[in-house]
Order: sequence, then C-alpha cells, then structure tokens
Amino acid sequence: MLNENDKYQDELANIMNAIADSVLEMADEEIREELNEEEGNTEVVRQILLNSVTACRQKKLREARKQYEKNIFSFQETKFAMPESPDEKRQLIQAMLGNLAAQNQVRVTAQFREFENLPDEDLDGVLRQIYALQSAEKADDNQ
Amino acid sequence: MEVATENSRRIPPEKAASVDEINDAITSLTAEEIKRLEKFARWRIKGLGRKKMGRNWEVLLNEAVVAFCSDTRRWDKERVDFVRAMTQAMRSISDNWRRTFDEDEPRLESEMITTSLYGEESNPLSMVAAPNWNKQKELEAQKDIEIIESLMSKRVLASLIVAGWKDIMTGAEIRKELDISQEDYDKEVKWIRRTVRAAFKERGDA
Repeated sequence: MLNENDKYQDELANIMNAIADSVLEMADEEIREELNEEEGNTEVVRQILLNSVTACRQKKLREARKQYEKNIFSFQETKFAMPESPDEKRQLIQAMLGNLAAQNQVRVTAQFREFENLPDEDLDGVLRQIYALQSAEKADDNQ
Repeated sequence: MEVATENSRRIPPEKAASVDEINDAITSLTAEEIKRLEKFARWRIKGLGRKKMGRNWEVLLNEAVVAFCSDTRRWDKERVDFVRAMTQAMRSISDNWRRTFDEDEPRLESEMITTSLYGEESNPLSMVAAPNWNKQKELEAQKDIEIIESLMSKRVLASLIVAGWKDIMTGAEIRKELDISQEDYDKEVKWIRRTVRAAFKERGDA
C-alpha cells in the first residue's frame, strides 16, 4: 500500500514521464527553436551515443578473447587416458574418427584421414585434437 | 500519452539491426532527433527522483544503446525508426531502475544532497537530528509537486492537464475528458514543458 510520501514520488514521476512522452510529439520546428535558444552541441550527444557503440564492441571483443583463451587453456589442460604404444594410439584415433564420422561426416576433415602415415611423435597431438573435437560436438548437442 | 510499446524480445534475431546498422543510425541522426533523445532522457531521469541513484541522462542514453548492441533488446529498423526504438528502450530501462530501487541500499553522501525547485540545497547528513535521507527526498517530491501546481495555477487548462498526468491519464483521455482539440492540448503542453523546464533550469537541474 502506498504511503503519503510514495504517493508524491509517484505523482512527480507521472508528471515528468508525461512531459518526456510529450517530447516525442514536439514538432521539429519547436525543437529547432530550443536548439537556437539553448547552449550545447548536439554533436556532443551524438558522440556519447557513438562511444556507447564502441564500448559495446570492445566488450564483445574482450569477451571473445577471454573465451578463446579459456578454450585454449582447457584444450592444453585436457587429460585423458593415453594409450602407451603407437599402434594402440592409431586404433584409438580410428575408433574416435569413426565415432565422429557417424555423428557428422561433414565435420571430419581430410587432415585426419592420413593419420596412418603420421610419425609416432605426432599421434598424441592428433589424439588431443580429436578429443577436443568430440567434446565440442557433445557440447553442441547439449545446447 | 499514446506511445506504442513493443516487446523487443519478440523481434526475431534475423530482423534485429546489427551493431554496424546501429552505428550508422546514430551517425545519420539529425540535430533535431538528437535533441529529442536528449530531452526525453532528461525528463525520464527527473521522473526517477531519488531512485535515479546518481545516474544521469547520459547514462540512460548509454544503457539504451548498449541494450541494442548487446542483443538485450532488438531494433527492427523496418518497423520502427531509431528514435522511437531508443525512447522505448529508455522508458523500459528507467521503469526497471524505478522498480528495482532498494530503499535499504547504502547511499553516497553526494546522492543525499538535494536541491529544491527554489534552489535550496540540503544535506540530511549535516543535520544532527536527520532521521534518514529518504524522508528528506520524499519531502522534496512533495515540495516539487506543490511548486509545479503553483506554476500551473496561472492557467486552468494547464493545471487540469497536469492533474490528469498525475493520475496516469493519457493525452487522448485528457482531451476527451476536457473536450479540447489536439491543437489546444499541444499548445498547453508546450507551455507546461517550457514552464517546468525553466523552473528546473533556475536551480541548475534542467
């Protein structure tokens, strides 16, 4: 329930908001009259608006960079049971690729199809990449 | 006042203006449109009274632009012009500030210093017996209402229109109730706007 003081606050707000709305109905000619009467530069206000756009763009960039760094960190920190021998690693790559291909053939790129020719020392890196790809697929499915 | 409201969230993403389009719209605004936005923001902030919590009209303009750029709100430029979209956003944002105002939130001393329409500055903290600053602000709203009514008392039609606004009547409702034309209404509203603005300007709050 409104007390007496809230009532005055609300009434004042109603008057000010009605005047604000009346500004939308003002003729351009009347606005021009005020522009001539008052000091101040509308370009300053335009710059305030443009600065808001710039700030927003910068925020989006910062967020994108933060997310990118988070993903990179997460990828580097990924731990999973890595097979010991190169043969076992190749079998695991094949199994994981098969699984990915079954889910979405388009996303399995040709670079992984040559894995059999990869040197043994590159197998760990390839496994990590496929694992990350698989995790991303799961995340997409969950959304 | 009859103002079309639109829930921006209903606008599908593919119809929402991009950040580049918003930037272009701002660049293309005429001086009159910019002035209109500024004036709208100033009056909405005045309407918040103590609930503005240190925010000014520039903050309100900024929040509206950010809302469109961050997809919190969407602007369908095929349906509504940018000025209309901005004023709808500012109305919604300032209403939200008003709704979410917390009486018990700690205040800065600078927020407590107030000036009445007659230019009297007061700081509740400087008064030994001041029970709380809210009371002070509430009294000011009452004082401001009394001053506005006193200014309007010179013109019957103006005082009736303000009375209608206090009761949240729309322009159409007031015109119907008073049986006056759009032209007479607009003329009187212009006088009210200028008179109240001059009173605020005198105390440095225009």
